[in-house]
Amino acid sequence: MSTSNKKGAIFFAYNNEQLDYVKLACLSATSVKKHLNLSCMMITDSGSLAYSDANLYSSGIFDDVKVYEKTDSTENIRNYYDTPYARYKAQFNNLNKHEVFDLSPYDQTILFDVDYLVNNNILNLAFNIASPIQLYKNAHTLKNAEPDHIFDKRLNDVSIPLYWSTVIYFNKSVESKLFFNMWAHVKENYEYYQSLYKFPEGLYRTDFAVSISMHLLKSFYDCVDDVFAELPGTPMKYMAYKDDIDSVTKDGIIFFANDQKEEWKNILTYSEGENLHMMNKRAIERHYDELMELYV
Amino acid sequence: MDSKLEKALDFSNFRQTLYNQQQTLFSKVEDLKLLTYRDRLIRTTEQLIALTKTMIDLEYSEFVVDDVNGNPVKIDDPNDFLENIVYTYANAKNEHFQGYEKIRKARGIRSLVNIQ
Repeated sequence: MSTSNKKGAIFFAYNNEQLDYVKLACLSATSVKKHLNLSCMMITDSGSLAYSDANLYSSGIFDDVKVYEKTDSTENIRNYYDTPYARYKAQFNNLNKHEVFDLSPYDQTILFDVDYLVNNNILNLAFNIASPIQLYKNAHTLKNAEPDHIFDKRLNDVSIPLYWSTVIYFNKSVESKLFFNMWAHVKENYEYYQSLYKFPEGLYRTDFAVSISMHLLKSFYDCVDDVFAELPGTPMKYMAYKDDIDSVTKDGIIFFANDQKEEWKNILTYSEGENLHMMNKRAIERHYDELMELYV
Repeated sequence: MDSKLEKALDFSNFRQTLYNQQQTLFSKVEDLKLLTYRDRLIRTTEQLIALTKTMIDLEYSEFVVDDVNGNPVKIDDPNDFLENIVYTYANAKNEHFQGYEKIRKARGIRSLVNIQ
C-alpha cells in the first residue's frame, strides 16, 4: 500500500446535448468534500467548461480543473430515462475514464461518476486497505433488492458478474496500472469482447469494460481477491432511471421507487446517510438546489 | 374499489414501506460496523468482541481473526484492537436503535419517509 498521504477524488465531466455533467460534478464533489474531506479534481473539456456556470465550478468546490479534450469521437448513443414517462437519447462521452491512472495527481484516488452522491464517510476506509483496486460488484435498488435488469447484474444471463465503474479506488501501484492498461485494451477491442462475452452490441459501457478487465486479471475466475477487491460498504445503492425524487429534507431524500413490472406504481422510500448512485440525472437537475443544501 | 380493499392496500403499502426502511437501516448499520485494522477490512461482531476479550483475559499477546473476505489478520495489540471494535460496534448499534425507534413509532407512510 502507498505510504503517501496525497489522497483525492476525480470526476470526469463531458457535457452532451442533454445533460450538464459539469453541474452534476459540482454537486457530487460538494458531497465528497463534506463527507470524505478529499481534494477534488474535475477533468473536462473546453466546450463543457464554456457552457457551464463558472461561478459554480470555480467556487472552490474543485481544487483543480483539468481541461483534457476528448480524443475519441466514436458515436456512443445512450438511451436515458426520466421516470417511466420520459425518454431521451444522448451521446455518452465518458469514453476515456481508463486514462485516469496517468491523469491523477494523487497517490491514492477515488474516481467518482458525477451522478454519485456521498452521504457518509465509509469510503474513507478504502484508503486504509491494502488493495490497490477496489470497486463495487453488487448493487441494490432503492427497494433494497437486486437490480431488475439482467445487464445490471451480469453481462448476459449466464455470463460473468458485473462490476460497477461508478466508484473506483486505486493507488499508483503496478497492479493498478495493470488494471487500467487492461481496461484500455478491452476498450480498444470492444467489439471482439462483445462477441466473446456475448452481450448486446451498441453502447460502450464502462461497467462492462471493467467487468471484463476484472475477469481477465483474475484468470477468468470469479473469486474473492485482495488485489482487485470490492469497496467497503457493498452493495452499492442506486436510484434507477425510472425512479424519481419526491423532495429533499434537511437530512435526506424522499424517493419514488418505481415498480419495474407495474410502472404506474411507486413506493415512497427515504434515504439518509447512504451513498447513492443517482442514475436519473434529470431528477437531480430538478432538485439540484435542494440537494446542494444537504452538503453546505 | 371498496373501502375495505383500499384500506388493505394502504396497509400493505405501509408494510412494504416499513420493511424497506428497516432494510435500509439494517444496511446502513452493517456499514457502520466496518473498520480497518493493519490494512485490512474487518466487520465488528459480538463474537469478535467476545473472542478478543477472551484472548486478553488469557493473556495472549497476539492472535488471528478473519477479515471480511475470510483472510487471516494478525492482531498484535489486543487491547488497542478491543477498544476500537467495541467503539465501532457500540456506535453502529446505537444508530440502529435510534433508527429503529423512529421506524417503530411511525404510524403512517408520511412519518416513515419523513414527509413534513
